[in-house]
Amino acid sequence: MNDTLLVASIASAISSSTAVLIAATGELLVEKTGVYNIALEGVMLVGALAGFLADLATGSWLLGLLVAAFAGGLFALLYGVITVLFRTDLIVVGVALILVAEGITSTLGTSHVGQSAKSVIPIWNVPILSHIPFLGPAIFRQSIVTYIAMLLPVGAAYLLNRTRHGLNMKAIGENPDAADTSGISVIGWRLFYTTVGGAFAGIGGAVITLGIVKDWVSDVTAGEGWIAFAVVFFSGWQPGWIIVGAYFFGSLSVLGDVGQALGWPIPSEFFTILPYLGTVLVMILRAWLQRRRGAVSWPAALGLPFYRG
Amino acid sequence: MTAVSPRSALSNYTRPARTRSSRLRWRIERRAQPLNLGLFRFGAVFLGILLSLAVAPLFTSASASTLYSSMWSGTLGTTTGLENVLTIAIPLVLCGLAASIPYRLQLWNVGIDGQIYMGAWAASGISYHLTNQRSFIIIPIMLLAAMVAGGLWILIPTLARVFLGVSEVITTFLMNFVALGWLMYWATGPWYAPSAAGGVFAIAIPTQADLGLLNVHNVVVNWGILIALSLPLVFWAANRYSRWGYEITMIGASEKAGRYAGMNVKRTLITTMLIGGALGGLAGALNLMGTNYQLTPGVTNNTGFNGLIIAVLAGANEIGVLVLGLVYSVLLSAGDAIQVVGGSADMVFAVIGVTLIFGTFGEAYARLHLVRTRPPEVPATKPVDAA
Amino acid sequence: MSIADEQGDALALRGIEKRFGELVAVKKLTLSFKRGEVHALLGENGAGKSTLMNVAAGFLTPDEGEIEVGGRSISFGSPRASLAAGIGMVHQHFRLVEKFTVAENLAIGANDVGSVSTPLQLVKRARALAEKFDVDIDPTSPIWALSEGEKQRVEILRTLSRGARVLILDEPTAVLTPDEAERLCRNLRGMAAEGTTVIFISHKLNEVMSVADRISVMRHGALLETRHRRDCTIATLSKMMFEEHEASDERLRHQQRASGDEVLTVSHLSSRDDRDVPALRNVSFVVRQREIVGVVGVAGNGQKELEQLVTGDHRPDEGSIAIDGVEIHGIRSALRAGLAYIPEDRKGTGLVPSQSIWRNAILRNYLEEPINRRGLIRGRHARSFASELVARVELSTNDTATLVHQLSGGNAQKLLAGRELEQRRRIVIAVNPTQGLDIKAADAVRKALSEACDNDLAILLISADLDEALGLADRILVLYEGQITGEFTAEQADRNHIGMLMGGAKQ
Repeated sequence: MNDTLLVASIASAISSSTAVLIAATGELLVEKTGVYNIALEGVMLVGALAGFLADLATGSWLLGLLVAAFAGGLFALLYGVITVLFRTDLIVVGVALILVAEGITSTLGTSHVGQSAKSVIPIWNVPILSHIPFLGPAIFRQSIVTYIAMLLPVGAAYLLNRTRHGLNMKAIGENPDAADTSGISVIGWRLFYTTVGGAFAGIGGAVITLGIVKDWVSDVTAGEGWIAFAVVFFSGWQPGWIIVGAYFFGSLSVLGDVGQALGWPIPSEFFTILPYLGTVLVMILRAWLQRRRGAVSWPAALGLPFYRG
Repeated sequence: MTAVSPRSALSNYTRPARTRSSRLRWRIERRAQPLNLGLFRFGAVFLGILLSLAVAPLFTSASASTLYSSMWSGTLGTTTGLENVLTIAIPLVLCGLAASIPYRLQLWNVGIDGQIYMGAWAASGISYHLTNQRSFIIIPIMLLAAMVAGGLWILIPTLARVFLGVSEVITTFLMNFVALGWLMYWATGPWYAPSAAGGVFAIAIPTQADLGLLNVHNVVVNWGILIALSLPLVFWAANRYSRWGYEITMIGASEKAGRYAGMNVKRTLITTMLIGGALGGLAGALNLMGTNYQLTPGVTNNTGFNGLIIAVLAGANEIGVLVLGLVYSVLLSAGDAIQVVGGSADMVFAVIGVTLIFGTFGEAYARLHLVRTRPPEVPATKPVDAA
Repeated sequence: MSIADEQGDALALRGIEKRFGELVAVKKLTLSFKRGEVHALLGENGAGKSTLMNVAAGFLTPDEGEIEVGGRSISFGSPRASLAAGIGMVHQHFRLVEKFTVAENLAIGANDVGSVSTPLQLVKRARALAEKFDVDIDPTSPIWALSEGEKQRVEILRTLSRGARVLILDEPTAVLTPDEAERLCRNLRGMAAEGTTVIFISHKLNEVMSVADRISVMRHGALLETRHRRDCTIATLSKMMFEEHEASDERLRHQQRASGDEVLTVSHLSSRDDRDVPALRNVSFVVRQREIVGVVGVAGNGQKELEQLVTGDHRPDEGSIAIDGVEIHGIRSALRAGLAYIPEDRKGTGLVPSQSIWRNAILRNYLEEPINRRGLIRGRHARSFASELVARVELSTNDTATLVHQLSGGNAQKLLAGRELEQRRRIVIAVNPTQGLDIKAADAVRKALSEACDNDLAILLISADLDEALGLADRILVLYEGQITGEFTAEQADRNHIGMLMGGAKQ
């Protein structure tokens, strides 16, 4: 593979991982409090459309992202209220909401299919660094959103491990009774972080329509929501591994395209399925390596409805 | 969670003891005795459907009467409609079973779509080697191959769950995508068959493998319908009267008790999941041999997910799966019908989604209730403290 | 937090009523607690003590009634509100995060932890708290690695550090060694002396008499009486707690039995627990036909592991277990050899509460004729078998379709014991069989065990309740830190001596 192709591939891998990275970090926070948002794909879709429409209306990608965050957060809050507050079944409601999201976004977006985004997220060439041969064009010519996305897991790690609030958050996800006794509002914070996670996912969706694909079709997220969901499990709920997972999976999809272009004997589907297969294998491996520990690797109360007493 | 001084904390929660009214507070608590879950779930779904029907005209360009008449003729009003409903029901009911049987043991089979793909793939593949065989040889072999493939596909997530505690929700789910990729590779590569209509289709299965048609009072459906209608009853009976059913009931209620009684819990978990996988594979094969005749990614159409939802809403009761499966098929068929007169497929999905949420609310209503504190009957007589 | 300027009782409960569906657990109860007293809440199982205190501590919402702290009425319904008012409760099942360290658990929801802090700072804070409240803990240990007694200390420390001025403890000494229990009692008296109100729920009369200032007796959800300790004796308390019968003679004198051949042979058993700590060390003993052998000890000295090994649930690291000379290696081989098992966790393991009585009744013989024929369970035979069982144990209901969770604890245990103590069995392992039962049910179970023994069964009784063992066993073995440290026949059994061995004395 020649240099330009390699550089372009790396740059492309980094930028196309951005949406997943943002959404996965958000979902990590949600799951740390004990809720998993199966409707993540739907939330991203909602954010993708909302951001796109806002962008068309105002001509500003920044406003687009903000509106997407708002829309995603609201949709995720709906999921949260139905599942966390009313203690309904997470999986059924999640799948149902994805159907609703697909239906609504598809309908609302029909008139815009194929339309390009008015204002796209601009690339920013980092001064000095972007001129380094090879590394410069590969890594330092991304959008500002991409750079911020890289910092999000770092922020999450800090929040979770070094702050009092992070400790309380984790307590909710591990033993909600203990958190409840200590005066922490289990339902309240679970709803809060579900909304926050939704906002993140919404932004991730808008990154796709405004930054990566830059137009709208009815299935624009194309499973990125599911990949983000898988990344959280792949990461063992550790922020550092979220970064690894997101970029690893992003690279795989790019590799698939590259391979096809270069006529590699490996079918492109192989790269498509690798993230999913990889996550399954990593989960099994991790479970096997940690089988002797006295506690599980996932938030102990993940997915369980909370009842006081 | 902000720093709060003891006095102000107290003052947030106290008021002078002499007042009669206490602040009315509401809380959601579990009922001591849940109401009839089945009734409320079904009732809620029914209500959801009625509501959706009522508001449907608002979302389409067609008039209400056109809409309703097309829905009726597309489902129960005409033989074509009925045939459509039953054809949809075949894989749907089987998927419902594929999910409900593991669900009796609190295991989630979220990978049914993947099992459908693998079942259809295996059946297709083996049929290409049997092109010279007669129907009564080729069909059972294909069905068997599909069930084995479905079972194998769920095997690794099952073993990971039983021996390592890895959540089968995630692993079975992720395998769906792997199966799709696998199918796409074969359908676009070695088995590719150019199709005039566009879309991805593989080489057709031999005609001997096509499932024959049944004709009952002019309603013509492939005889896979017999399997779809009878298996729920068979499994229901097995659950109630057989030793296997007894063990599943007890283990499903308490794994510890199962071990205590000397039951081989791990083996039961594994075999039950494998049955679920096999049923998923079977659904794929029936779809292939009864409707599509060619391997295609469209062989599932989210039927697997729909099956899971049916299973959960039916509370893992096989008869409930059958009934709810048929109702769902009517819904989907109505959805097909209204597209002709201006409804959109996507809105149909949205409506189905809303109906499902109704169903879960119904169940929640049966399990929970709103609790309200009442004001005390006798006012406190303690003197008010100087605040 | 100082409420010295508040007037009145530390905590007052007025007209509290709590219903669970049809059942009225607490009936319009009024009770007050004084500042700085140690107050014992006494009552048999099901009297409503835990329910009442859960209401006081905000874990349950009462249907009626008011709670007052220092004269001020408090709104109901959250542990947060109650804790803010100074009421904290330590339950039997601790609310600790297993994954976190002790220091982290102490920091959850705490106000005096900085918004940003390093693990080291949390450890320092934990040490300071431990010193302040005189509780011995290791701040850096993860909770999953601690013993029950250590976990309880963490839980108490956590509650105190949140400013609880009323400390409620639910059966606190259930999981402690006699030493730890004594230390706890001293701690409690010390706290009371400093102005903390200590309320503890118990059904152990000895303990209550030695620690409490005032004692309240509850019965069937109502308050019977509150007295000062000086106005009570064990006998009078016992009479207050239980109704129709006279204070039961807990030592059901057993008949002398001539024991037969060895049934259960335990040889050189050694095993490690889930934390890889040696739990049993070279334990050997036998149980003979028509003999009840009681293994006594405070919970946490290897009983759980012994129970698991003897019933085939786990494999020992060393040593062997044999029934009638045949070595067992797993639950199924044990069951085939004639094992019966009355576990401590009756509604979780021995029975399936969500299922009917008849389905539970056939749990041991659902594979045999006439209930099972060619893979099918025949309902009629199953139900008639269940009916016989239900009649034999004199269950409160004779409808075998009743779900087990609707039975009281006593009835459930009678059902379980009746099913297990069947003549064809060889050895019965009974663990804490009368724990938590009221007098009538406990007597029924004891009688069933004794009669079964007369009918050629061998019984291994593993018990944390010395009186239970003394009342039933022909021989008593003391288990301490995984070893048998003493053996007594029924005549030799001296309560004090055994108690000391249970606590670790070396003779």
